[in-house]
Amino acid sequence: MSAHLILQDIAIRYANKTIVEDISFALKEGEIGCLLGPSGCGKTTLLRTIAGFERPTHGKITLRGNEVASPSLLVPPEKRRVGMVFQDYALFPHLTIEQNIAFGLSKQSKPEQLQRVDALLTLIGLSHTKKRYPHQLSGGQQQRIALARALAPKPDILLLDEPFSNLDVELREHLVHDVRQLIKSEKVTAILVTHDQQEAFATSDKIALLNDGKLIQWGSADELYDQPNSVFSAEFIGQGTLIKGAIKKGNDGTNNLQTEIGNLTIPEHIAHNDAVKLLIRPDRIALSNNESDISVTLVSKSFRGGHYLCSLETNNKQLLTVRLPAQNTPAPGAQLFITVSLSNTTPIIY
Amino acid sequence: MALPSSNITPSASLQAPSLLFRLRSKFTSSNLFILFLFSTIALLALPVLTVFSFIFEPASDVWNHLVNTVLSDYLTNSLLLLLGVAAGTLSMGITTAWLTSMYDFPGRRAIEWALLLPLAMPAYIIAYTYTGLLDFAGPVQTYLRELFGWQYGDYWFPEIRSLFGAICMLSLVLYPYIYLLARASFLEQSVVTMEAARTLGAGPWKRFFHVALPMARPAIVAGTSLALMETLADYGTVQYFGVSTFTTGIFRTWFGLGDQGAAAQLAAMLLGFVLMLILLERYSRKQAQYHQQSSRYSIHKRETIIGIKRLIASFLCFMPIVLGFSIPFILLAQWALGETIDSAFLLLAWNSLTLAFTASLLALTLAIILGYGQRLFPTKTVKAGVRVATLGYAVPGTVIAVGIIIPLAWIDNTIDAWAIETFDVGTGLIFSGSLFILLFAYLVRFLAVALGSVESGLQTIKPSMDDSARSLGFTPIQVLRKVHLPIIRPSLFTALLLVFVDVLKELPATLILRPFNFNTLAVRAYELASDEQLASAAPAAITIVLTGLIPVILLNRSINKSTLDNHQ
Repeated sequence: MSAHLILQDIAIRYANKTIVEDISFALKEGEIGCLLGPSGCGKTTLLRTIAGFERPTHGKITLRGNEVASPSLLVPPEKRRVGMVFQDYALFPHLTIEQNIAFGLSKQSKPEQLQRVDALLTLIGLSHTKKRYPHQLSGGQQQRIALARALAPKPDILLLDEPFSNLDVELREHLVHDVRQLIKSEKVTAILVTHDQQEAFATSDKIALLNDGKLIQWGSADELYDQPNSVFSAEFIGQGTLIKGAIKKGNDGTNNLQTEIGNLTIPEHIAHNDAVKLLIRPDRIALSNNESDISVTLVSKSFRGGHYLCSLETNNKQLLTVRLPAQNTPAPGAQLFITVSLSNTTPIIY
Repeated sequence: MALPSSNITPSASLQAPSLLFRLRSKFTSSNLFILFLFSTIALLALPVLTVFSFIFEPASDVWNHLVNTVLSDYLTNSLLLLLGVAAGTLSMGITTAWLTSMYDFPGRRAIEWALLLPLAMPAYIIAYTYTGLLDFAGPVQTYLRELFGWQYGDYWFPEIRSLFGAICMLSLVLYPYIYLLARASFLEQSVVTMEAARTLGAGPWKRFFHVALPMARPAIVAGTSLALMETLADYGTVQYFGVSTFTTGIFRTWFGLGDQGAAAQLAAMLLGFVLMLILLERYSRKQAQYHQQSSRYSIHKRETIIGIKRLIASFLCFMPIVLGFSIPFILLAQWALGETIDSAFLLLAWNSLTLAFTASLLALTLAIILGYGQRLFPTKTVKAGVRVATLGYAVPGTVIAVGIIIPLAWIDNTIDAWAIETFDVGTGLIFSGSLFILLFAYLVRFLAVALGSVESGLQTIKPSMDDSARSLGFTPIQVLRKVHLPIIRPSLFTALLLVFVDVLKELPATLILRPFNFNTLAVRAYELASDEQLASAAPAAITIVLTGLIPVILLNRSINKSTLDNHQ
């Protein structure tokens, strides 16, 4: 089966400013994708291009097998069958909740419209708000109505622009989960824009990590976490420390990466003179009682509820981050011994 | 000799405060100020209240005569005029507002501000200019006759001096009210809301009728009620075109039939219409707050249109400017160039300018007192009082004139009778026969304009600034002089200017209340035009129009500034 949404080599430029460049990825039907990146990386522009509000200056976008955008073609948003949830929800202030959700259903008969509206309102648990106006609803409720309105016409693709950013933290965690379930139950393909990796991990099947207008990495959440392909990926996602290493040719012809916390056999495609770093996640480090292991000093610790996030320093002044259980954590200044598991660690060329 | 009160030592006053001391403590400066505030408010509300009181007056013979003969004409004509002007201003105002805020086409920027130009054109001036252009002896019909060899009666040509003509004239100069408010509303509407409509499959027509227009409805209703208030207030146009409405009826009843009571009753009816419009306007403004949601990224992108659509858009936006300003202005300029400026004209201009300047200074002073009074005593009573005092902005000049002349004439006559009885010498008409009455009428009508500017200026000063100045030992009056007035100087200037221009343009109240043989530019232009001396009226008329351009420029500048602020 071919992909549902395909972006091929998309670039968007305004005047002389390049917003995004060389963006290619594909989503299967029913998958939830995520555009993740710091502010200003071009993720919202990319989403608006998929929606049809912007025209790509290069490349093409295919939706359900039909080309919808290229430098010479721009299917307008109203003809594209996209559903969009906006950052500030953009509910129509002069229409009731019911009328808002039914707005995109004008081609259907009145009973059909009502049925669809009722079904969606039940699904999001807001049936009682049917006759109210948007300004009478809380932020979280407005967000769910916006989602229902976008889903109502059964769009080919659902686009969500930072849908959780206007909500407070507690509500957010709750809703992120609900939203994923709702999208999955409607079996709609979706793309979400966010700068928050937790949101991305909790909602998405595939993540496009963007920086400075470029697609840095495309993959599932655990791929991004375990096998970052760049210094940016490694630093943007999760915690951890990057350690420099030197490559030595082993006697058997294999490449051997030597670092001060251990050695690692690395793939042959990495050239002898490449500069290489290793990402060490906190969970790769364990305390040991063996004095022949790596000796470190506990520099500082900060309480994270249930565990401490601790900074360790090796004898060569290399800092490492580690999680230690809240009970019996030594005081800063203590001498400790650690082991580091390097299996399945991919070196990053920079 | 020292006054007894100053002899009171602290200990003595503690034991038994004298009566004088207690009285003095009642008359603190703030109590005196409040007293002054409310007397001013009462004075300003007097005309409107006087007219209202005539609702309960028993019907006179003249009134019964009016009811049996012309009242239904007044009613139908006024209602038709309102309906026609509403239709005309709505179609022009909304079309131009929508096109200039959503699309980009050649000349859009210039058109945007030029669409405000007709605001500078008083309706009575545009009315007689078009009469000069379109009536039987005018250049258009003369040209047609020469071209086709027609004679009188050979052809049909629309009669400009008719109800329909009045509707056209008023619509041409009043549509900017709707244009301004609708445009602001279209621009403030979150761009995202329109985008949301697009993603839900709504094409341009559905977006306009189902999203943009309903969302702008409160603003459009507010603009329409302003335009209709002006329509009801108009006297010059309808009188010149021979359309009998309430305003002309009030004139005729007063001066033709000599019945002040019946005239006041007509005025009370007219006031009823105005009050409905005021309520409508206030209600819409309240509604507007639910209909406007600002957006974080509302950088407005206009769609560029091409081909025939572009031509149509440019044409639709150019027409109101050409018809409402360019044609009458060019015609007036042409006529004015043919006239010589004599000493009579200079005297006229001097009269108008000094009168307008005095009125605007008085209005500004009162506006500062009321505006600062509200700030010092922000109680519900004071605020309500100030609203009542500024009700005059919506009341037609004829109604104000009637409401002022009745009580002042009574006072004059009472004083005169008393003086004759006591001194054997009459005082004449001290108030109602002098410029005092005219200035009083202007204050009632235009104080709201000045107060609006002063209030918006004062709002920019944080209350903590008052507090800090007071804590540094300044009295409220010193705070006003040293802190507020210097800060809001631009607003004060605007207030002065706006009242100045409004007074210069004012016609009906001036016509009724001016002292014998005292003329202003507006009155003279109107009189000459009524006598069919259109060209002689041109110098006065064009002076009024040119002065009227000043507030248009100011308005345009403040709009540009606020849109600039929004984008930063």
